[in-house]
Amino acid sequence: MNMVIKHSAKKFNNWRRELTEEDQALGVVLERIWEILSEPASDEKFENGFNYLLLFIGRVQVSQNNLIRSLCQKQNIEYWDTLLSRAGNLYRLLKPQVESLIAKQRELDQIEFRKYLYAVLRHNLIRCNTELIAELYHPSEIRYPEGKGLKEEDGLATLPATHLNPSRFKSRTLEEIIYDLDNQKQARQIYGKIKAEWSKGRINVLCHYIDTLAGRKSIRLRDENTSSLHKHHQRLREMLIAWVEQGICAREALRTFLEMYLPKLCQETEVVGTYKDRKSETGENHD
Amino acid sequence: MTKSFGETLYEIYLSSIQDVVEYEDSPAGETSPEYGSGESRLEVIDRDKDQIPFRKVVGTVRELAWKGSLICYVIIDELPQDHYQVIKASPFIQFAFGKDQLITGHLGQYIAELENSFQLSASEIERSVVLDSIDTLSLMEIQQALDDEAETGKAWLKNDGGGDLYSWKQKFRMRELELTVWFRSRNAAGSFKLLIPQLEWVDEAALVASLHFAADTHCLYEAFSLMRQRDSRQIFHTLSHTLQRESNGWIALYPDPELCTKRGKIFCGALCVFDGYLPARVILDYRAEGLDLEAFQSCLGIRIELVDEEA
Repeated sequence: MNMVIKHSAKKFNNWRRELTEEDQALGVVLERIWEILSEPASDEKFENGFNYLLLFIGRVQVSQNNLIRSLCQKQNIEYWDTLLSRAGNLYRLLKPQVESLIAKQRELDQIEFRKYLYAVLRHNLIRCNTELIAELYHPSEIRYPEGKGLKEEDGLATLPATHLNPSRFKSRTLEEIIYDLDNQKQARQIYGKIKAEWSKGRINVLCHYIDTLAGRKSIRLRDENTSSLHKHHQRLREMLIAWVEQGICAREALRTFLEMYLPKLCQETEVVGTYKDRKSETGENHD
Repeated sequence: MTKSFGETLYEIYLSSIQDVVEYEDSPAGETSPEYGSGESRLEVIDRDKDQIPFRKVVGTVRELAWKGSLICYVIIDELPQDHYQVIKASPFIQFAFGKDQLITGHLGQYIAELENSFQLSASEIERSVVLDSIDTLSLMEIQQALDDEAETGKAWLKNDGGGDLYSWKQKFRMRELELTVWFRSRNAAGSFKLLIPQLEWVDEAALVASLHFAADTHCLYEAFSLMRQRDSRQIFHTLSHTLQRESNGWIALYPDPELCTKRGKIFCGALCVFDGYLPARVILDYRAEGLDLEAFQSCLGIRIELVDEEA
């Protein structure tokens, strides 16, 4: 669930001053961050864990932090805002990895898991830092998205969950693409077109291809040999990519169809052993 | 003076590929004024639903720690005998070069460096850190590009958009190739093709005209090259290897027989283009009619060095 937290540099500094040296050790920092990622947390616990995330950002990739500080100074941007914004961005990037991390935690001992978690955190932090630095290097393009970043009644700005500016420097995530309503609308049209126009055999080839790409053993097209299937996959792939090149559908709409609507289409389509349809079934030639 | 954005980005990239645990216990800037006096609200987004599928292997982006470096890659296919075909990937999309494929994951975009592909064993995959998972269309587009390459040759190797040899994009590309050279070299067999990025800058016209070394050079290597050699358009010997034009026009490099099967590195200038057990023959991914091999050797500065395996 999304939430809005109010935080200040002063409050963070007070919290930090109360920490002992042991509290600030990397192992402890990683544990506290992992707690707010992996378990539902009370507001108080979340704030505490979030402070550890802020602490982590300040102490890893220090040269990048120093550069951000100096760029902020030049452009009269509050460093605290960039720190808070990066923490929000980092948290957002880490959340989709929680199940994968929990699975890893089961395999590894505590020390090894901490190393693993550190590697994941560091990789994502560098992504957040890079996007922010790219923005700060191009100050003319920094703008808050509509309704964000503006001082509200209490004089505070609400920062975007990602970072300062959803600009061309920000790399789009899969979710940002597939939750876009325009993409979804077009993806539904692709779904409708395929369902209406394609034979059962051809849909089976597509579903088989997707299973193969995902590394799953498909129950479809068991009567076909591997080389023939490979050729069918190739033809289908060429056709779908040509749809984009020929402007039949937008690239991101096709992406959304493959992620959101194809699993549904495959569920709805009867499993067949061969792609060759009996003429009596559909009366069409699918190739 | 502030560094250029390209230089800064390249430095961030270099630090991102170092396998070090960095954590400052009390960094210099940790005094309270350094955080400023800001007070803000933050919208925290919880993405519980958008989990990366943790059982997935093909289509995942991972990071392998290797001799002090971190190698980020995407798995594109499962091969027989517990091996996987992978492509070098990087989140530094600003360095996208030529026909690098832009791929999309749950956490953002990456470049898939199509020329930089290699195989990893299941155990190497297993000990890598899972970073992300890419979508179906990205995987399809990679496969399509690889099919196109098989039909038309390495179209993405053309120097389109990468700037000159010393641009940040090119530096990035060279470093990425160096990172994976061991993995690309370890299965070298008879028709193994050596990837030499500098070949894109070889001035064919200049090389067709034979070069002559200055008469006052005294080093052994150059003295050797002055020795009477047969037609250097077809074959050229150096102390460590022989370059020979094959009947199909490709240029082959034959390491000296005494070096074969030993652990060694092949360099082109400062760039290591092979790191592994030296095969009897490798093909240079280059074909040019009428090219003088002596001039070619001189231009690329190809050399072989043995590696002390115990070191």
